[in-house]
Amino acid sequence: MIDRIIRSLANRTPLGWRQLRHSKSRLIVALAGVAVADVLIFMQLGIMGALFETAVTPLRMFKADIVLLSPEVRELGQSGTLPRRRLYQALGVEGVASGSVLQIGAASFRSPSSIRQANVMVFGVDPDFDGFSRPEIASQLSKLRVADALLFDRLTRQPFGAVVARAEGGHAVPVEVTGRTVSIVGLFSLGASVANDGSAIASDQTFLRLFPRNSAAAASAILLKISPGADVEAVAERIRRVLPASDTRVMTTEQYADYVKEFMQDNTPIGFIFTFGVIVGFFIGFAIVYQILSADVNDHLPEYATLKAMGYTHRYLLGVVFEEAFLLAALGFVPGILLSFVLYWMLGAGTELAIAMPASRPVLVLAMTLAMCLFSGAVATRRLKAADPADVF
Amino acid sequence: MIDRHHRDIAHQHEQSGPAIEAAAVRHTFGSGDTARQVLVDFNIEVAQGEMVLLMGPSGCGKTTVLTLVGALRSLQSGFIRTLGKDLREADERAMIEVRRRIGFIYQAHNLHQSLTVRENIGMALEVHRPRVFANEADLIDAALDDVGMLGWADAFPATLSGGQKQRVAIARAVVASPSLILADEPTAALDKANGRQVVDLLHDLAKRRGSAILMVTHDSRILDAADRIVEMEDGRIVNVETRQRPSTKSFNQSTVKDRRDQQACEPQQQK
Ligand SMILES: Nc1ncnc2c1ncn2[C@@H]1O[C@H](COP(=O)(O)OP(=O)(O)OP(=O)(O)O)[C@@H](O)[C@H]1O
Ligand SMILES: [Mg+2]
Repeated sequence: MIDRIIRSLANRTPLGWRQLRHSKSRLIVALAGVAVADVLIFMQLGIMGALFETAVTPLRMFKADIVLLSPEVRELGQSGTLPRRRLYQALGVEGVASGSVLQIGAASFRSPSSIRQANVMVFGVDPDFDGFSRPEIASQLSKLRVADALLFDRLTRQPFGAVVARAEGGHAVPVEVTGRTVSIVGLFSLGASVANDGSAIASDQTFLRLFPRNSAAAASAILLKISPGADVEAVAERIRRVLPASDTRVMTTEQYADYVKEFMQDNTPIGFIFTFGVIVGFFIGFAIVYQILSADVNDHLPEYATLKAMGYTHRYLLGVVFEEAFLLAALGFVPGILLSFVLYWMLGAGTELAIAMPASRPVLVLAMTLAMCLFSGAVATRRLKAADPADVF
Repeated sequence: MIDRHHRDIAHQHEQSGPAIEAAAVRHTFGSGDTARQVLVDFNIEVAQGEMVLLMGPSGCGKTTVLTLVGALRSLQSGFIRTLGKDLREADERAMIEVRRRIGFIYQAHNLHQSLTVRENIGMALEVHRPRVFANEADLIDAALDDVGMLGWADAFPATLSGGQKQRVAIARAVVASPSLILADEPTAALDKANGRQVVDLLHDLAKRRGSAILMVTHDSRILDAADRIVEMEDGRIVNVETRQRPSTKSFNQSTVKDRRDQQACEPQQQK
């Protein structure tokens, strides 16, 4: 089949493919090399993407379409504040259906059974707020009307296992938060992130008691839902025209998620470490493919010299080597991506990291694989110069 | 239907002038202290359709002559015209054009191990792309039939005997009906019977297709196939023997065996 494709595309004998196929063990090593490099790259990108995704998981609890934030916003835990009255102004904009203030703060939680602390992100909401996308949370909001009551993330990192176990049993469990004792009255599942060990939800009243420096007149974020059928970009643009850019930044939820991820990429070592891993994978693939291709060119030097004596151009021989490089990229990519899907699934099942495969990633990795192979092919062609047609006699 | 290239080839056969003209060719390998002059004022002329054997002791420069005449190596000094193309001023492009009109046969068969017999022969037609022979498959079949290898078209070279491989190599060299065939000891790796067969084959094919042959050989068993035998020593021609063969339209009817000085050893050369 590959034979026929190349024949019709290039209108010539598929010499590169034939040579690859002729030395089977070499072909298998080369394809394994490309596949391993691709798996490495996929894993690096996958884990990096998953870590970035954890930074915005709290955002996924909410049904908001548009988020209003302070222009100083950085990552989720460092939002800065904007005036609460921007909510009422935004509600007057055409296409905005409802909205609510969200307070965000990070606090140290201490388990009564341990001296170790956990860094927990606390969200303060109006107990009548209907903006949670998870029924598990929405159904428990009324419990927060009691002072100093919290809903707690059962996936919070250790040492909160005992606390969670008792809360599961229906008990209100006391914990110490920044020197204040509050009680856990319900649980939900969200998961830790790079920056936080877990999350908690409080009423806006309780939140202000835990974070006395925050003011009731200020909000960490304002969540807005748009009317059914409205265009989120258009509504966001209308809000931008109404609210002063000096204290309010208007983003769609997706823009905000991307913003937080980009911020992490630029400001944490995660982006650097995993990008480095991707580059390492690239060069491993490059080295293997280069070894294979240059050994292959070396082995076929007499045949290449014969071709030159028959009147084939140097460019034709370059074409043969690049044909081999291209085939290695295309054929190695297939097992690479299949294996990566399996590993993503296994990693997702074995850890709390949910590794997704966005559609753009295979395209990116395929492009990298092609670059890797064509680059090694280009270096390997330097050896072609040794094919001297005067030497074949 | 005959395509343009095929007409070109047919046209070349009608061209007047020798297939090879070489005069005052010198060639030196290396430079400085290690410089070694391999050809010293070498002259030869091979007419269209003529079969010339080039003989001489090892190291006297026979292969060097073939690589120069075949445009596989750049000319250093002197004059060579191959198939009407003056190689003194030939650039890489022009040299490649000349090579495409020559059939080369080597001591080793130099077939592609990963290609079938048919595909190996096809490579000699494919080199003319984008010009395409209208009847490539027929040309290959005819060439295979000529060398008695039609039954092996889909075999890989590794499964063939030495003589069979050399016959495939000959089919590859003649399939595009080149005006000139350059062969370097094509029988050296073969036993007597096979060697004889291969030379006869080459001779018949060349005569039938009108190709000139310049063949280097040490093999004294095949001398009778030649129109002319040129002996070399130390980079120059020392003896020329012209034979009369009833099967050829010989341009020189006399049978001369004489030892001449090397300036006079070119009977066809008119300057
Ligand atoms: N690429 C080269 N570099 C340096 N010297 C060379 C090269 N090719 C050939 N020679 C030298 O030039 C001389 C002539 O070589 P050539 O191959 O033409 O001889 P030949 O007549 O074909 O010999 P043989 O019958 O053994 O094949 C030899 O002494 C050889 O060592
Ligand atoms: Mg030789």
